[in-house]
Amino acid sequence: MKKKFFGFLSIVMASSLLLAACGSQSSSGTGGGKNGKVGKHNWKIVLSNSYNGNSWRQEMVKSFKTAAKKAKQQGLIGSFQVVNANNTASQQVSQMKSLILKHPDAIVIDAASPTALNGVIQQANAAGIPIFSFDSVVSSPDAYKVKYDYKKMGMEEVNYVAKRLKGKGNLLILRGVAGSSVDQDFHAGFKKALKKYPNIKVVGQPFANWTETTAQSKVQSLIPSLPKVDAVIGEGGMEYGAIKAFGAAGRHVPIVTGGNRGYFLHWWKKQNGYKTVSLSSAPAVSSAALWLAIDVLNKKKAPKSVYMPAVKVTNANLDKAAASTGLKQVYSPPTYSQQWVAKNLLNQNGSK
Amino acid sequence: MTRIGNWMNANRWCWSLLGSLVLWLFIGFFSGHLNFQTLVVNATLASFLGIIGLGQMFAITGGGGGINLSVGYTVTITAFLSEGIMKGLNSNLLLGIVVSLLIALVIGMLCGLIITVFRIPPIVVTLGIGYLVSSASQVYTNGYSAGSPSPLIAHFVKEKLAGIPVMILVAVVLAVLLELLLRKTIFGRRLLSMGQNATASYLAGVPNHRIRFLSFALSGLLAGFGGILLSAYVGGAFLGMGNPYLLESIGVVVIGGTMISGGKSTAFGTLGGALFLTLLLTLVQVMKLGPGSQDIVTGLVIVAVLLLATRDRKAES
Repeated sequence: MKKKFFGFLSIVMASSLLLAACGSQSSSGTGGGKNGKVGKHNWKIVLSNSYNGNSWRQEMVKSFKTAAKKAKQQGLIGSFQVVNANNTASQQVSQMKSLILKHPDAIVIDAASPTALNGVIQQANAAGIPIFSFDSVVSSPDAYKVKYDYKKMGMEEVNYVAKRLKGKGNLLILRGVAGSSVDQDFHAGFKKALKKYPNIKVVGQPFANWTETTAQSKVQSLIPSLPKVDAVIGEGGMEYGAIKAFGAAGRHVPIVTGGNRGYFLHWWKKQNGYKTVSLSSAPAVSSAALWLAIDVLNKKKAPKSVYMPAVKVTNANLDKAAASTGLKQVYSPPTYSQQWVAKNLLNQNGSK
Repeated sequence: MTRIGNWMNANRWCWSLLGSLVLWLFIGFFSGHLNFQTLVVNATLASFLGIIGLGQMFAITGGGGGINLSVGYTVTITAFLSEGIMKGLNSNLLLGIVVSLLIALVIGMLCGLIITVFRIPPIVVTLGIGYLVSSASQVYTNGYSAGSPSPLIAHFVKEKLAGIPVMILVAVVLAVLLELLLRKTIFGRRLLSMGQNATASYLAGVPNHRIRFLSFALSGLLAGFGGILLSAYVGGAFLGMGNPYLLESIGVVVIGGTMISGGKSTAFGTLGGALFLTLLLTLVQVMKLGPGSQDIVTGLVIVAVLLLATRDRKAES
């Protein structure tokens, strides 16, 4: 009986330890102390990241760290920290709750859900901690938002493809994670733009979770039951998987729009003269959110909601983009600078 | 007619294959043209799920709440390990396969050991070990795929033999072997008898602990095998890669006609279940349903199939 009990206890302890480890906290930067409120150069800024399992997010974290180190060297902040969750809102919420207790000066957040974190964000605000949400932004009115206009990106993709197809053809749409705000925005853009082209038929729209391999298997299983596909559009991070699926089925690769991923850009370059367009958000948006947070802490006037420009690759700048992007990376400026943020974000009127 | 009915009841696996055939016809109906290639491609993709499902089946067969919640994480870690060791070189192929399989075996053995020695319910043990494995993959990879599968194995999984994709053959051969293991060997008979009634089989002299331990070891090994092949097929690994396989592996076992309480299993049925589930996901795509209704249809069909299957079983008893 005793043996049983201790066995059970050890399992419980081991698994709870591991659960804690799953939401691994990597902390960087020390010092600063907790006198942040006195000297304005001692701000402590934390990045709460809902997921760290794909290349986009990893570069996003890297960009945040690079910018934060620079800010620290310049004496603009005292310390910074990165906290990663396991892609569930519940874990991110509990991490946020414990962060609030430690009372950093600002929290920069890439959220797991547009709504699920609103409660904890309100708590943070009540505790006097401003929240800067970017990439997967939250809907809470309490948070500053650094957004991409994914709807506009979706419309641009449709318009490009429609122009190439002269307004007629079969279209396959690769969708991201069902229920996420980014997917909703992209889809709204697709739908709005497609209204103008009644002769473009959507032949399928599998959800491929922004993952190349998922896209590959979904498209592969779908291809035999599809008519000829003239174009493929998506939300980024799935296009190379789709291209591989067309290859595996022995079909001609149609017009595929990209999302600035290295695999896609290098493939595109190798095709010699293949024409398409590639649009994506930049992982470096985290650095822009950081500078915005520092500016707001320093009482600069900033709109509550700003739009980031999409990073675009066309045949004109393809060579340059491919050269600076590794296979597993996303084409992006490495970080945005404080000057860039002052010039491009602070002066937006927020009503866009 | 009753003879066919009896035969089908005795060979429960044919229901899932029949169901798959019906789904294929539906896909043909909704897409406007019946294409044999649809069946072949879906069967290829289903073979990975089938192999992982076969592993799950062995955990379930032993009864006593036997279920292996670590299969998804085992798939992920072996996918990372195999490509990380192979580094895209054929010379590392064997090492990559052996090490990955060993790790998978150790994971399964660890589950089996804790379940039998400490008598903790499998569902808790495998979940705990699963988290351990998940953290291990995070530490090993830093969340990032570093290597790539050797060209030889990457080529092998996409190869066709007499027009049939090799992966389908691998899954079928494996199912035949495991069906034989289950029906014709002492281990298999003991596992089945333990699943039907653990006390009775213990009194009859079956070393229950050893059998349960072995069944979980086998379960881990098969999940690892699936993980290696999967990473070779998709050309890499990523965190969360195995997660969908956790619940789906249980689903295909049950859809295939294996009893969730153990003691009655069919390896062919598990493969059929995998094909059924894969075709079902393709069907809801072809029907062009919205994301919400896709899940509704998938859920309804699965529930309907399970209702049919259990009604069947009641009639039998």
